[in-house]
Amino acid sequence: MTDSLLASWAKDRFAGEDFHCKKGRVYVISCGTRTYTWFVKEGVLFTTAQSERGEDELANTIWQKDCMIHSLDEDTMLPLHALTDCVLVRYPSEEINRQLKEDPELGWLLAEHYHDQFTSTLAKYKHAALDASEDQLEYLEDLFSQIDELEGERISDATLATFMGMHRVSVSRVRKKLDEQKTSTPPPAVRPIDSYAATPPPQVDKLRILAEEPPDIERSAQPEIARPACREPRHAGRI
Amino acid sequence: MNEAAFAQWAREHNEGEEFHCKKDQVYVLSCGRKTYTWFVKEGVMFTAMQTENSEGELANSVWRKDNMVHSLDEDIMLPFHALTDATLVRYSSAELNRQIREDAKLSWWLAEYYHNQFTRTLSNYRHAALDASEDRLAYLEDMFAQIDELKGERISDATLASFMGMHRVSVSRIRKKLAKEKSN
Repeated sequence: MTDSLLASWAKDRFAGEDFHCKKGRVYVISCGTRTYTWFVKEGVLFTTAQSERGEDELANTIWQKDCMIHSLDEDTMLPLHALTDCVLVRYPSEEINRQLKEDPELGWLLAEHYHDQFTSTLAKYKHAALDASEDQLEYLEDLFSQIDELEGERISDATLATFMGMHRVSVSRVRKKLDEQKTSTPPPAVRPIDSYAATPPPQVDKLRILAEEPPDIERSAQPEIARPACREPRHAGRI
Repeated sequence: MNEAAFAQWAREHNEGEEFHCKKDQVYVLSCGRKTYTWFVKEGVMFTAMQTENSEGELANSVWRKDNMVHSLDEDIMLPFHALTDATLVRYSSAELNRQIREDAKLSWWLAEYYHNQFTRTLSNYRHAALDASEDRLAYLEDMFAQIDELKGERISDATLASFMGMHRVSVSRIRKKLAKEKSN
């Protein structure tokens, strides 16, 4: 809600630049007080658990329509993975922030934005820190299943692995185990905690910075589209 | 404006209530838009990794002089562990937030507060998510070692275990292993 208000305000006040992103590709965007503030106009993208230069506060997040990508750091380079075809719009941060600083209501909206961003990202980290990989996977599958634009699509092992900072093989193994458990006896009370290796970071030399006319960027991950799966019931939002 | 200046502003514009906390005891604070906003007047406290009602955004943090404990949720119950004797002061959130919303500078400051709180807490979680327990313990010991008020004190296994969301026995075991590695 907060981000929608800010998106609408920004569209009314500023001339933005649109960028069209293709599904399955990775785009590196420049975001910060000295560069740009971005909004998602349409589509769904995500940032992984481990981002370049450890921009943690914007890592491991799903970005949907009207979501604002804003940072109070000077400049961060964020790899955004497009889950669907998307349109991003960017504005120069200097002008946006100047107006945010002059208007108390807008400043308050920004505080709410960070609070909400905060709690939503922490929920994912908390899962990573405290739960076994199976719980984390189930949690994430449920999270993705609640995204309307992804209805009917099965998120591939590769995509989930990228998001979780795990190896695709580990995700496949855990998914297989979960499927087997669903069809056989209930799981044991105590589950061993899997240790996993992080997936390699995005191949930087294959990523290019979003420019005036976004060039085609080599795919670092090709999501698979499988047969439609059933929607899982919605869990409570809070951790 | 920094946190100290903000704490001073709150003190000058609002009527606060003080609470004195004893070292090693745990206090549950009510914090949120409908209840209270707190400041640490003196001392050091922490919230553990797993808190009551899972208020993740204020969990796993160390709270020091002038730190503000603020939430935009309606009301959360936060267990605070006192690492030293401490004094907390609380203000009515309704009044405080009303004043913040009327002042552009204060609103922006609040946004910065959440941004900074966010990055600080995330670095703790990131360690938990990505690093082995030994690395995490070493990181946390280093973090506590930088707190002036705790100088000369050894953080107990029980305290570290609370903070990390681990069992005390696990912390003892890792510490013993690390100490052995240092002497080899």
